[in-house]
Amino acid sequence: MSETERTSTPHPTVVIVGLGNPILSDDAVGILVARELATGLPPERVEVVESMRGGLDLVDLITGHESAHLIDAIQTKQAPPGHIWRFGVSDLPPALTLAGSHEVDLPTALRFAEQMGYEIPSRIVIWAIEVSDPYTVSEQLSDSVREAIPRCVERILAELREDGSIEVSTQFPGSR
Amino acid sequence: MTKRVTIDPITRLEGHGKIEIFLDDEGAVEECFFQVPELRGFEKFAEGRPVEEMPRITSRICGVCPEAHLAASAKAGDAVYHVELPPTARKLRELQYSAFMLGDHTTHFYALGGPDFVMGPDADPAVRNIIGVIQKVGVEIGKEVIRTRIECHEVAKILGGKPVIPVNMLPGGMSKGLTKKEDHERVLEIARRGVEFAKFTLKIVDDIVLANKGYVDLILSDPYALRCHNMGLVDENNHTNFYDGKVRVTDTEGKEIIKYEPKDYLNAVEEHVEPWSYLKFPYIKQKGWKGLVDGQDSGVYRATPLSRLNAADGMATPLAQEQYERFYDTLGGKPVNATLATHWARVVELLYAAERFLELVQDPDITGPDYRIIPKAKPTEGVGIVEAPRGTLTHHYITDENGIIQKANLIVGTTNNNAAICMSVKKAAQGVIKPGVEPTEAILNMVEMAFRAYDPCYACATHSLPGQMPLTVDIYDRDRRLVRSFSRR
Repeated sequence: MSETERTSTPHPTVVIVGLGNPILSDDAVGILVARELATGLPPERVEVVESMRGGLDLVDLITGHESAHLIDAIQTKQAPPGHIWRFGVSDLPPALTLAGSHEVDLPTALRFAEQMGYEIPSRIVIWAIEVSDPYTVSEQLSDSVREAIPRCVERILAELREDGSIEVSTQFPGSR
Repeated sequence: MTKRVTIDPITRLEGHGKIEIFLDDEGAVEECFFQVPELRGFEKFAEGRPVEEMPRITSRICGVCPEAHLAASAKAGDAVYHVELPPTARKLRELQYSAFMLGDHTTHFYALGGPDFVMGPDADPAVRNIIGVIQKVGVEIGKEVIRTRIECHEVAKILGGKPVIPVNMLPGGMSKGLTKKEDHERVLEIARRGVEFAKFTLKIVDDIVLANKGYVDLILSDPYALRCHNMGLVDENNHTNFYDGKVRVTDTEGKEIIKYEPKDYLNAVEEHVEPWSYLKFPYIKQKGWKGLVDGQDSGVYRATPLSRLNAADGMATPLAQEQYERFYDTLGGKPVNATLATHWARVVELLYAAERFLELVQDPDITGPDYRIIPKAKPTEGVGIVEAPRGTLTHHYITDENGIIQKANLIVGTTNNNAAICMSVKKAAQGVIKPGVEPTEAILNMVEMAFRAYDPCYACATHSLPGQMPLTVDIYDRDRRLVRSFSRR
């Protein structure tokens, strides 16, 4: 899989989007979880993409799928680095959906998509991994964040199995 | 000049942008600081890597303007290898760059800067966004916005890059040409539609913003005025160019201070460091650093759509030139110092980007086979400069004889504007926050508008999942007690 290139068939039921920056230390964590997932998920059922952009670009990536899992770095400072948060769109921490820079926020992007008549996923799950340093240009992650990658992969797989997105028996080479 | 307030390092921000406003005994704004996180360690990361890898790496620094880093880096690589690009290669780069500017400025106008004007600065925040704008101008326009963004990405893809994060510019040219007939036809179609879309967008500015005297008064009002020098790339006719040329700096009266080749940037710009900010403050060397003050004697300059228009003598394409003339006729002549006019300047640039894009697609050289030459000279040192959507972007590399980076330096778009943003935010705060009046969301939005005009992008902070740079506004009383804190959605 390569950045923002779709891995597979036209409209698999589920899309997984790894968000972040591959050369900004811990900020790469969402992309690394997605890469790990891409190695073992059935492409006809689950599409895995990675992207450096949120906002309106994200709408393009998730439109047409029934459910979407978004994976990104987060800094709430209310949990130790490596903690895995699970949010819905409505309970994204308000401290992080503020007015600001060059993109619209996720709820706004989704409302815009609805306004345009796009088919956005009925179920959107956000996996956010607490990070300690997303600002240093480096391909190295801090230990606690790197250790969260297999745990996050397992939690997403468990949820995909539970909701029937993938077969319970799906073999996953990345699992340990 | 206001009294300087030294902020304890403990209040230096971590993780998100922050505006800190300090009130005096009467409740008027005494000081105001704007701070953002800074990318760290780029120089170290670059050292030891081959210079031809830099376009691919630097385009990943930022998810918002990857093409700007890609182009500046490839141009610096050309200079390191002392290569002169064949016309086809040079024009393909500028074509792709023009399409990128078209897409980026579109996003800013419709989703970020426009809502304050289309909906009104004091409109309910629930509608003061792209959704409100589309409700007002129509769903069909929303579809055009989406289509323009997607098609601008598509241009990069056709030219051999990847969508969103292109990697197709290399020292010596491009990785692929526009040699296939069907590709050329598709790009032509996209460019033609881009020009129509840009014309339509200017009509929205006319009908909704300029037709409303209240908005024009707001744009020209004192809280949003800042007299700075102006920086922008210009071609041989001193017309605005985004991709190539010399950097021209004009003063607050419109006179040229300096015009320099990219390789001479260190003769023109120096960087000042303040203890309370991670981000440096570049200033014009000839003027020197006089502090966070505006005016003819200050070293503070801006590098924004507005300053690009101010620093140029005109636009290189006919429709954009008409709009350029109208811009200055309407706003009282050159230079315009009204920060909020940056939004209109950006839409004039949107039209220029679209027209230039179309011109280049129709250029006979564009489908030629000479889209790359292989560099053969001994690599040494090079500087590449382009106009990123939000300001002049400089990449500077020094390599050893094998082309391995020994030293790298970047001055990114928003950093140019650091001093001006700080001053604009403070001036707006002083203008709109009145003693004895509780600052409402609408008032604080008017402070933010001063910052939003610059379309600031702080690289790493912008692509995080919620999609916007977290921004808080903290208000302190005379005793430095936090009296109010806003963290708005």
